[in-house]
Amino acid sequence: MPTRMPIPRTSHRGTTARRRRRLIAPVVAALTAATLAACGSGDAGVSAEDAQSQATDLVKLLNIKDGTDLGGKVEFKLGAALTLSGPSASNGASMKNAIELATKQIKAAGGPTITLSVKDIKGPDPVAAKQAASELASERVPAKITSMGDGLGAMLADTDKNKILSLDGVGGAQVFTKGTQYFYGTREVAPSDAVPGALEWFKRANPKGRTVGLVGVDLGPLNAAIQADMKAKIEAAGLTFNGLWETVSPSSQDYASMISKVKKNEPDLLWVAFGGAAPGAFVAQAKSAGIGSELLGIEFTQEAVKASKGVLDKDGFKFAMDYFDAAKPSNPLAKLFAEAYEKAYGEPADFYAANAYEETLMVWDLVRRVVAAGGDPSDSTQLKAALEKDPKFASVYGGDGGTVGTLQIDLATHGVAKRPMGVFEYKDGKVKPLATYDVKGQDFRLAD
Amino acid sequence: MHDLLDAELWQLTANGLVRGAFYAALGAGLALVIGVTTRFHFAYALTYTVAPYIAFWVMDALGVPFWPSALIGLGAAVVVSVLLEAGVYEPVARRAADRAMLAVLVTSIGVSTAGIALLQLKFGTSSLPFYGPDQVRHDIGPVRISNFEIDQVATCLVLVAGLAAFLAFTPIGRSIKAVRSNPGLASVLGISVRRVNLVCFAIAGLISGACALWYGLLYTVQPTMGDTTVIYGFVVAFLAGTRSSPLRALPVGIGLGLLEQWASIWLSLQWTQTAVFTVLAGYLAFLAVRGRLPRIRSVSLRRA
Amino acid sequence: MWINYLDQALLLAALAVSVNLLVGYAGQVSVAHAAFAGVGGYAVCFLAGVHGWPYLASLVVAVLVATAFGVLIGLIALGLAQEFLILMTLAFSLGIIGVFATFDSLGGVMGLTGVDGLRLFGFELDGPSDWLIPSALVLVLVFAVCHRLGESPYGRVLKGIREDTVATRALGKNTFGRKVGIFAITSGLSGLVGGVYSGWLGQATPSAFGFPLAMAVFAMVIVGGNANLVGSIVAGVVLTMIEPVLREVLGVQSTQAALWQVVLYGALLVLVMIVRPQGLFPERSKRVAAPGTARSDVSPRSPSGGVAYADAEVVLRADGLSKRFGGITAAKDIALELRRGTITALVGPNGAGKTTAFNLLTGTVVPDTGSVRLNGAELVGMRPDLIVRAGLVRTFQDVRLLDRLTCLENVMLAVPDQPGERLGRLFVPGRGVSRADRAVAAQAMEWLDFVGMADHAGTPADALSYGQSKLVSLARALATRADVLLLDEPASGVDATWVETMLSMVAAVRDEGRTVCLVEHNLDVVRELSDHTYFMELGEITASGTLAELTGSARLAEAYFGAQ
Repeated sequence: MPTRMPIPRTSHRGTTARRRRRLIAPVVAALTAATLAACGSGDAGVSAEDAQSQATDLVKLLNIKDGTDLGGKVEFKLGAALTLSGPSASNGASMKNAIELATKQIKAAGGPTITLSVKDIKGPDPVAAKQAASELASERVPAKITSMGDGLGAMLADTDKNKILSLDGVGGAQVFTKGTQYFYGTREVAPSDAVPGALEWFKRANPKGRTVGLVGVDLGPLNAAIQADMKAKIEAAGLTFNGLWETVSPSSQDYASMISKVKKNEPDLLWVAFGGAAPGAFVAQAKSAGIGSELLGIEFTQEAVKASKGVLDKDGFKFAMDYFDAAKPSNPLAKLFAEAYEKAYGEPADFYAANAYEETLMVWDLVRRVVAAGGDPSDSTQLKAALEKDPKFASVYGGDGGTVGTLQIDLATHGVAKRPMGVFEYKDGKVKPLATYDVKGQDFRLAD
Repeated sequence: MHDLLDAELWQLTANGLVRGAFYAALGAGLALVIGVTTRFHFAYALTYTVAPYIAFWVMDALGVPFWPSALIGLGAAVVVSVLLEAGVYEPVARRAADRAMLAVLVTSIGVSTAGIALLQLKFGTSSLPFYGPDQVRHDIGPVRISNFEIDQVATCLVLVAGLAAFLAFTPIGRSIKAVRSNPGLASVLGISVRRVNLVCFAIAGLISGACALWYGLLYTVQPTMGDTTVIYGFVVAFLAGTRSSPLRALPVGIGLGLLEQWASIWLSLQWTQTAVFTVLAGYLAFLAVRGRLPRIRSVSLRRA
Repeated sequence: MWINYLDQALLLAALAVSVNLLVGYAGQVSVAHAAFAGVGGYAVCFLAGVHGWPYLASLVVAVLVATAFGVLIGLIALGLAQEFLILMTLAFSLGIIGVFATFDSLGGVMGLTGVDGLRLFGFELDGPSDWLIPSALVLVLVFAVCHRLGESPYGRVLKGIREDTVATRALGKNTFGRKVGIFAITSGLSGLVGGVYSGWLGQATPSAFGFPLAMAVFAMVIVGGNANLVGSIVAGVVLTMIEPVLREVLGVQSTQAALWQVVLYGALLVLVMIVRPQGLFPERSKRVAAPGTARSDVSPRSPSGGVAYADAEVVLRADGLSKRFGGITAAKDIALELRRGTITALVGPNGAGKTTAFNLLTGTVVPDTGSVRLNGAELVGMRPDLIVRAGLVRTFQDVRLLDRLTCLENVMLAVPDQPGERLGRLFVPGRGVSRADRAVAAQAMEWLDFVGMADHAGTPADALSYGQSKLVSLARALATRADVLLLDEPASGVDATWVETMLSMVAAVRDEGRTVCLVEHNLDVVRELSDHTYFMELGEITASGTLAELTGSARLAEAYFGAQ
């Protein structure tokens, strides 16, 4: 690192030596910081050999018939709109990892050369999301892996206008994404889809529990629709919504006022509808304030564990979602993915990564189908038609020791027709299922 | 229902007092800087954020125990604060001469956001797992309060009272007051304005760092933690007066804390922060009107 | 993609230009203009996006609403000290964005998104390239308005406010009104830019108009250069392009590019402030071609020819002026007369209240009781600038020239009734304003010539010697064409050679038929000039007469003159 650098001479009279000394401080500080930051960004990833060996297994697991055109001649441009900075930065990072892993495996398997164009939607910040949408449009990507209900709605208009087939494994097909033709949610709609099964679990685990309330992030005008949906599902389960519905802007993690409101009207079951690190911070503060409700999160990440300052490890944290457990993969594809991911990035895959991985495989599947039909895989209308023709894809969720799971899109809702999920509990670094079920609470089963 | 509401009121009051002491200390530190050095010290947010970040880094990367790390974090806040004055504000103000206020404000905002961006480049954009000793909860009547909150209040009160005593009873404190009331005269009397400024920035760094460390223990440590905090600091500093005793920050800070907490009884949560800005705007509007009142009155007298 | 960034760059440059008019020209620091842009943006998205209004109509409403907010905030904040203005605008911007984020009808924290298919003059604005023309037009429009305002007599008043509000007001300019006016105009322009910005984005969200935008615009103004609009455009485009260039050209990861952009903003600001505080493109001093010294119709009037003091008409009469500050009596029952074509002196020891008396007469300080009549009209209760217009002007003990303006501009500023200072006239087509400004320059040159400073017309005021600056300040006072001149220590601190010049100047002013009152310590000056002298001590006038009479009094001689 240079210790001296030329300082521009100023045209002003007076002593420059003194000023020069003054200047060195900020310049050196900036350079130091630059060096620090540059050191920080090492590039991990899957090695070529690993990708090659994984690819062979992948082709087998996906049950691709011999002689199928894998799309090896296709140059495919895949977009990605991820939250790479801001409070949800780690979600975006693991999704990016998973997509890169998948594209390398696909290439090694003899599939298309996928060039990835990743855009940061920051947060999601609507401005960044919009910018990402128009950049992806100008790059003419036929499909993208997207997130957060397409940037909490900010990208949806462009998604349809530019006909970009968009797969969202973070927000799923939320209420406000309805009607966007090219948008599909590939996971449960959190928390809506998970609610019926979770309430069933709650009734069995707490036979005396009656009332349900919710705290969460403020989604502005969308709150009303979500609230109506939740209320209907709570009543359908024979429980009572106690009127507690408190939302705050996602920027703050100081929940003192919110907790006072909860204390005033304490429900038996409190949905903690925050994402990322926030559930950890909220649960820690709620426990500290003596909230006695059963707390139930809508997602779980290591970020939340960090933000809870040990409370989640000590007191445990229950959540209802389609959780991906990298330690206990449920099918061979999941196992292949979990192991490959851990090997490439040195950390277990979370559900964001898992969802992005299966979405990338889904894009490859669509490309193969279009190629097989003699079409042009860079035409998103053909990709969409292929999807509509048979909305079933390989999944890292569900299945069993010998069978790869199935991801089935509901063509009416653009969400998932089926999705294995459950109520889970995190404690002392381990996640265990308490109950498993599917969309609408079907196939409900208490874990043993 | 009645006693439930009462319990809530007590809890909110306790929360408000805890928060208020915190705002008061922050405001007193900022008022000192603004009153004495006339620097619009926006980078207070930076020194605030730096303390828990450095403390975390020392703990995480070097494996130092919590309390020594916290002290190092505190030291880092002081160092950053002093360096800002010596390396940025002072040269900028000297170059800008009569337009120093704008120049310093602008550089201060710039340095602050740039510094926080650097922290994000190094530590990431999400929150840090900033752990400390165990939190112990006490129930006092209807109020539940943690040992951190009690310690935080104590720290803030000690800081404010200590600052007041420092200004009143030590030679350097008296120099600070002399510079505050008339910098030109003070320098004629042989007081080094530069040194006084540096001392003020050291104190402000100390206060912001101490407040941030407690906040970090109670809540979360994240890059944006200084954003609204510094605004509260400005609000308290100006409402309490930048040229008066730091003790005046106490009623103002506590008033704001209570206002913010009590507001949540009647207002939806989204409104409570806006309520504070409304009060500030109202107060400034009152000042503006009062500033012109004498003229209005004398006109009417003449006509009578 | 680059076209999209170009749209953004043009719009941010337009915002920077309007903020520069306020910050660079008028010297009023507002953090709130990003929020005013937000007001405009929300108005457009609410009306055009949600309620289907035509885009143009919603833009008009955006401008009006933003202007209204500007007037409101300006009225509240601009009467306060500068630090309160900053604080107030800060509180406002956070408050208003907070309020927007609270209403569900405005989309709450998510804002109004998905505004699409806007049309302007029959053209559908769809992709980035469609927005290029509207963005460029807005920039051109904002630049044209700001340039017209900034580089006109109106802008000269703004610069005067920036340099020294009190001195500018003492030349008969309604500084508070101007401040509110320019605050409102720039708010309206920000609203317009915000409306187009939101249209381009297809959304109005709290984060889009939050503090980072205010910060970016500030960086553009400061880096580009205060009071240099071209600089703002260049800096606006360059700074906006940092992020995409880092990302696309230098291959920095997108997560880091945004952060590095902020770091570079900060580093640039600090570097610029330390190395080149005037910005990359410094303010240009207007080069007014010095008109020839040919006498025109405004030449100084012919000498009135020695009127006896006793016979002279009373022009200004003050009665019973009193003022208390807290417990201290600064002025007590002051009564005095100034007579046409004569010179009256106000003498007394330091702290006797002579300058306070001037402040009371000119309305700078409002008396508790008493009256001041100028040609029979009551002055107490009038705004200071109107008192000047009524014909009573003062100079300052500490001169208070406007440092960064040239001598000629200093004097031009004082000329009353300039059409170019009125907004309405500035936007009327034709050369009327510039013709009038040439006449003003000619007048100002005459006054400079009158005090013997014509050679220094193009010199910035801060480059003058003390004596020279006193002469220019006299020329400035004369240029207001006020009948009565209050000169605060015109000869003090001036070296001997200048005293003579000054004396002859003041005498010449009197001979012109104007009325002069001066505060002076130099008794030789008083003896030479004054027809009548008031003696003040402890805030009261305790004696009056000719200087000879006063120096003859044993008591006064001891109280004051004895010390000499």
